[in-house]
Amino acid sequence: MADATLTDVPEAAKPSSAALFSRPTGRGPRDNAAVIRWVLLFLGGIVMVMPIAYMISTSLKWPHEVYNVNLIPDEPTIENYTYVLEDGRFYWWFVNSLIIATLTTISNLFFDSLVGYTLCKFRFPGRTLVFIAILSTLMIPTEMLVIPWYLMSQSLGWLDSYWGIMFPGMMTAFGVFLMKQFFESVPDDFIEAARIDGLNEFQIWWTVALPLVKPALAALAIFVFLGNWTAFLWPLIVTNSVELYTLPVGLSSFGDEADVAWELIMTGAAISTIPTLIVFLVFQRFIIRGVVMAGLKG
Amino acid sequence: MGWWTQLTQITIPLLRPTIVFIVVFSSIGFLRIFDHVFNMTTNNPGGPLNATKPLVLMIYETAFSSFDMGYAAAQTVVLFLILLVVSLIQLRLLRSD
Repeated sequence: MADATLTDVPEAAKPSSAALFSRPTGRGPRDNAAVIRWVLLFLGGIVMVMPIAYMISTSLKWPHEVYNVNLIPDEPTIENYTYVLEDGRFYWWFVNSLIIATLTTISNLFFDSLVGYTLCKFRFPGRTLVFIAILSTLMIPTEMLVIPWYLMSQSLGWLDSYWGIMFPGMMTAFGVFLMKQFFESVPDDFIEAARIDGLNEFQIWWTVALPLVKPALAALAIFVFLGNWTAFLWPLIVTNSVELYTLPVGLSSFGDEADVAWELIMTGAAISTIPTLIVFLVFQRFIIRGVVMAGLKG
Repeated sequence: MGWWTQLTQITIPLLRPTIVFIVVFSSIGFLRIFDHVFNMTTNNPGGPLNATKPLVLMIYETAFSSFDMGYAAAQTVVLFLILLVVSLIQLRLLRSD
């Protein structure tokens, strides 16, 4: 009778061999692939997390233990944290970095979106030429520009000042490009309607177009803030006085001629990741919300 | 079709644009390396005996230790040409089917 039931089952209802292999409890090639995949992803995860784990581990070590590669300190201490937080220099550098990164981010959000909007929604002679000129500067790396920037700051007296650190990044070609691409998705009808309702061009940009590209603004804000928070080469070149160092430049100056105080550098680095985390979490929510709202409006 | 064939014949070819992007951008990134080297060899940047000196550190020293701005600017132009040639070669090699 058992034989009969098997043959009576219609062809389509029989489980295929592929379906059998993919059963979670089964043993087959799919399972092996899943194990290999899991192991590879786990190794990748370890490679990514390792430097951060070492940063935190080193920040909890005494100086004599820094060059041991053990991940868990023999005698953990928060001495480094109290030292760094009580050190006035760290406080200056933190505030400097915060001011510079915040002002640069605001400036980028404002000017990049303004230029991007203009290039996207207005027709004027030379528009393409301007856009190509801005785009072509994307190819040139910062390292090439520091010498012209330095000579410029020198002749204008901007060396060793906040403005000197900030001016090269107040507007970025990448930001203009990003915003222009996102304004393409704002329908011209909205702008036309606002114009008929009597808003001036600046009001249209501010009240109609900008709210529709919030996700792009959030992405740009994260990008610019992180870029300026971690910038090293230019702040290193343009600053001379210790009070004006940004966090990365200041941290690298910890220690003396004989020995680099890695435990202090790592402590400072661990603390300096906190604002970036906050910025990321705050603006990331805008990105998600923006996507949801765009979906609702269909 | 085995998983190896699937990987080499379908998955990797379909990932080609992403692979091209990553290869070009990470090689440009490493040719421009500065921060890591400068910080890890603080007392003698690029040392021992220039063995770990990247291009950007050399430019930095020409410009801001020797203050030879013209020579340093010329070095940056050479760096730019290297980046350009490397990316063009990679694009050519990886894009061709």
